[in-house]
Amino acid sequence: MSAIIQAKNLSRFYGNILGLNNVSFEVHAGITGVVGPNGAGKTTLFRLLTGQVRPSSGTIEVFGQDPWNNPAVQARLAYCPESEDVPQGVDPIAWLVALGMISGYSAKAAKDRACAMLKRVRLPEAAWRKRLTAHSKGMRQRVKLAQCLLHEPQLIILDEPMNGLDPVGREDFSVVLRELAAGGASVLISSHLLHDLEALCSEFLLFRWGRIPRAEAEAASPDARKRWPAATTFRCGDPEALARFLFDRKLVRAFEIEEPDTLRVQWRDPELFYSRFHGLLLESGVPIQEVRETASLLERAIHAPSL
Amino acid sequence: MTASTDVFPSPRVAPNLRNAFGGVARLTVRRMLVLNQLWALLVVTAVTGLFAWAAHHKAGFEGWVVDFYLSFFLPLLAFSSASGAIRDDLRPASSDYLYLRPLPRWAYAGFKYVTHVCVTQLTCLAPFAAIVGVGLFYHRLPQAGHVPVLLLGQILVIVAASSFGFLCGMLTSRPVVLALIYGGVVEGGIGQIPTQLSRLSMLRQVKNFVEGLTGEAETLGSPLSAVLVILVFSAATLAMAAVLLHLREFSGSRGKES
Repeated sequence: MSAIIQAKNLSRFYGNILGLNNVSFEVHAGITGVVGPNGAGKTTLFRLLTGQVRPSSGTIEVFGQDPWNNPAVQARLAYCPESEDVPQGVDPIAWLVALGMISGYSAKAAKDRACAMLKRVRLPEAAWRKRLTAHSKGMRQRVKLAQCLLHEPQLIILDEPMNGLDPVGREDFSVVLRELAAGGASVLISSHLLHDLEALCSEFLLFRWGRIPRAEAEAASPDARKRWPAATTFRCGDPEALARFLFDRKLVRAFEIEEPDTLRVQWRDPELFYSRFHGLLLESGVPIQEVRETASLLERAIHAPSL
Repeated sequence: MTASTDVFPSPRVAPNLRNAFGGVARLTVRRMLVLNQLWALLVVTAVTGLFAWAAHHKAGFEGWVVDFYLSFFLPLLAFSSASGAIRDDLRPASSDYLYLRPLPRWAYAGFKYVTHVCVTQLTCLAPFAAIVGVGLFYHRLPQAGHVPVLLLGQILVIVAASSFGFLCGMLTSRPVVLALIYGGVVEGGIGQIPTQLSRLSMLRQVKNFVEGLTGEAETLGSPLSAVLVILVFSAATLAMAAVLLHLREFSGSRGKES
């Protein structure tokens, strides 16, 4: 299938301020994570995709069309902004019915859809008639997701939707997003909660200072994410003995004992260690409490020092 | 960039302008009739009634209604309400949701204006009733037949002031400043010059309309031409507001930083 989003030499500047700088990419069906530090250009990208701003140069196409002020594109996509601002004086059900009608539903169909979507995002019924401004942050996030789902969009763009949600809420969100993806919708999601994002997304777009740095993008590619971690952290009874054992077997490129019970190791060849993982650790005779990846590929890609 | 739109399935809900109008109307009405707004209306009605009571001692109460209420108080009220409403719709709380729906922005501006004007017409019946009540109670409105003419005047003022409010609200975050400048130059300056040039003033047109129908004074044009001029002015300012909304970018805090 063709790419849902295609950007070519896309730039957007706000006066002297950089938003996006000459980026080219494609997004295909599925759940795609958009990651990068604050100010990397994620929200600018979302605003370009939703047709709220125009590119300064280059082109962007969503469903094969220019999204700027284009109802044909807007009928197919939905956006959940990062901002917590919600309209004053309306309750979720009234708001969703009105937005549903603006999307094209009749009053009755809009009300049915609004109720169904509020149930789907698990907003308690007691909150349906309570003013939006009186809702907690987590409840607002649920209502904002519900307004996204109203018109059965084919592309859902979510800017930091997990903010303000407790772990149960995040799991609820993840379930809804997986269901949407299974139903054929595509999702573009940004979040600083990288572990949640890694569990959810099949593809990633990495941004830094308005660009897509090639090295980091490759580091977060699906192929790279299938590889063994290049560094591992052990919490164990005798880190020095474990380090000596691994070093003697020429497995280690570098190691560091950070705390009395923590050893960080960088592998010469991670596959060599992980292919004999259990046997090697038993052979070392060191009691092990925890083995974990030192930093996920996504975290390393984002926190890498250079462009 | 060769992807064709045929490759992708069509939207599951077809945009529908009639339903969209219903949606815009529902949001507008709900936001205009919240409790705070109703309290404000009550205060405005009380203040208007108080002004009318203070003015009933003077001769020419009907002139006071035209010169003060229709030419100053009501335009200011309708203008602030309309400019405030459109400014609200430019905030992220609205813009992030409203303008991402499959509704052309010019249509949104039109639907919003129609609903806003209708609700304003209804709510402004309260201060109007207060004035008419005082006038009739103290026998200061000699002919009851003039009341519908004053009401038509009120309708025209709201139509014109609301569209101008939409335009100023689109142009600047301080629409009242713009309105004061316009009011000072056009309505207060040019509008007071007893020549054909004064026809540029919409409030002069309203005055012409009311006084033409009540036969209180000799006017520059016929009441019908006054109505036409006011409608053309309203349509033109609304069209400008719609164009500005169509061209506007919503860049959030980044845009403000630049």
